[in-house]
Amino acid sequence: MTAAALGRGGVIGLVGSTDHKRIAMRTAVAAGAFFAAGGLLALLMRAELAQPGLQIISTGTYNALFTMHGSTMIYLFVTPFALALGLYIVPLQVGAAEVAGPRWALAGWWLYVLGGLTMYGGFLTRGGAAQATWVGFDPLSNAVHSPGEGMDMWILGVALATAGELLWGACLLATVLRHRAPHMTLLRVPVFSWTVLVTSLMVLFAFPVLIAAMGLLWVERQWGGVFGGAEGPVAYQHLFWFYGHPVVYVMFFPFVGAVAETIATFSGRRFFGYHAMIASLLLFTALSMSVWAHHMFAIDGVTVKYFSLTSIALVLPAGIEYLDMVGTLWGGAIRLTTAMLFALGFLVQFLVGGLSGIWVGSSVLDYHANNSYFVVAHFHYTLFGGSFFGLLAAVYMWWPKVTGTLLREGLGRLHFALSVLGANLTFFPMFFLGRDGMTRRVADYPESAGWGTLNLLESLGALCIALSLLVFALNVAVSLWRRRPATDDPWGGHTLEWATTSPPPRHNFTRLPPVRSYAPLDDLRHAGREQPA
Amino acid sequence: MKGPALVLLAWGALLGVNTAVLIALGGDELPVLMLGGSAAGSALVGLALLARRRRREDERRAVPDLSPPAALAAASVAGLVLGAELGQWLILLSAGGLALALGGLLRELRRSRQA
Repeated sequence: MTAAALGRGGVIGLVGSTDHKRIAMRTAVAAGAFFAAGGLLALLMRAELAQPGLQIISTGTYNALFTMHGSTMIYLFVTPFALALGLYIVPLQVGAAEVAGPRWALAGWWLYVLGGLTMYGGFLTRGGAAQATWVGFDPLSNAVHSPGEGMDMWILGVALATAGELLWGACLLATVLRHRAPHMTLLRVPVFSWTVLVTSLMVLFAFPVLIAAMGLLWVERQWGGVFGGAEGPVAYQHLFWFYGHPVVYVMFFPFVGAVAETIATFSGRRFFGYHAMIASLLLFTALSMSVWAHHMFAIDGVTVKYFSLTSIALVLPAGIEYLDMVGTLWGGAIRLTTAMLFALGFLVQFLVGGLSGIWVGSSVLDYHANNSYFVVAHFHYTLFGGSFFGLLAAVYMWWPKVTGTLLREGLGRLHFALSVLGANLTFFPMFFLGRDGMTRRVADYPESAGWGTLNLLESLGALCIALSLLVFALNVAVSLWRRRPATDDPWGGHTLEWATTSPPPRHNFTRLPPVRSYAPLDDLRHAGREQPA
Repeated sequence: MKGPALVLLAWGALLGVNTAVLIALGGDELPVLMLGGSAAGSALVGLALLARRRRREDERRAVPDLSPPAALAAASVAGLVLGAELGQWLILLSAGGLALALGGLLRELRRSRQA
């Protein structure tokens, strides 16, 4: 069998292909599988919380469930999916034949998948999976408080998965900086690729710190002496949150870029305020690297003034980005496709997450909200209401490009409606529970607190989200089973990926259109209109 | 490489400003070190890009469609790390796999230079 024969299919093609599109697809499939597992853990948690008292699981099991749910969603689903989206789309958008460092990208996939399986391997150990939260707080995670191999497996798995994601970040940065098509200057790079560029900067400088922190935590568990004394746990938290806050933006910016492209495409207008957007992205990411200790306001020894100042300053670039997106919608010929609905859903729901972020970014208010369900509501509005809706906008928009088929719009709208209902039913009541003092990471609450009704509503909301995902799975199955072929540019896109076939060939382009702006296909359309008949 | 270098330098400068404000407001050593280190790192990469000439099209090497050695290398690194928990046998097996993978990668690189 020749190498060429194994190139597209076969086992060797599956495990060793350097094609950025195949690596991205494999990552998306693996991330989807991890998402399903993490979602099941969430459903179990919500089933337990539906009424006061312990009915289904023990407190220890509950600890493992929320630890693995958070770890899955952050290390194994949203972050890798965001980078996979970049791996697929960025080389196409910048007119490159392939991603920079394809072998590194391939190696990244292996590290990520093996890391994820290692984390889940903890369930097979004697003491069960890790129980020390997705943060792995020290001393909760040390050998005294978290004995057993499950915690060690978690540490090694997190380090491996993060190393893989670090490799992807480096490949993506090099692709945008060094592999652009002729005449594509940096100020002609599409908004999505810019968001991936700034995301890669954060990956490159924040992720190594987490790998180092995991190494130190592992040493601490084996021999001690690393995070000892009163300062040790604070030092661990500084190291962790130096990764832990930027990663929130790693899970956010690529989807902001996807939403920006969706809004521009389905408004029939070029992206408004492109240059302001690029400047705000650079400012936003630099600030995001500088706010991490707002997660530590309730701890002594944190420079509260500085971290509160930088956290509140985030509203400036965030405001510019919102203004640009609303400006793009303004006066546009809006088409309410499923992708556009999810993009608009992102805009509204992320706003709830962002505004509640001002609350927890203020040290005085955060003392009340700290460790309560208010915080859980805040970050689920940013990550689920925001990022996940952005992710779905991206999936619905680029699905025809990736598969060459169209998803069904009717099922897509049903998916959207159930998602909005489920997200708000699950996460909005958490603001009230947090305000009333319900702490996070508890398997039980007293009946006398009167939190039963709101918790039951949240559990019903979680079921609604599960139902919405089943509708999406049905849509995918129908679209692949009864194929409706997509044209190369079914939406009237603005950027280079729409200039090639759906799906694109191995080296992406047979010929490239001229690049004169960040919307080269829109340029072509306008040039065509201006030519005399 | 002026444009890419400017991005890194600008980002490093923004992080540098943030570090300066942190110092002015009495930041502790570790936070200053991490933020300042990132600022310096970004600036250094920017300077390195500035010094590096752009690679010509004909200097670009072809990358094979398949690279099993890259996959084996990554799996072996994962095995080495997991060996710390699962035992010496995995470390030895992974070390062998890594040696094999590095040999394969060298062969791939030699071939792509000859092509």
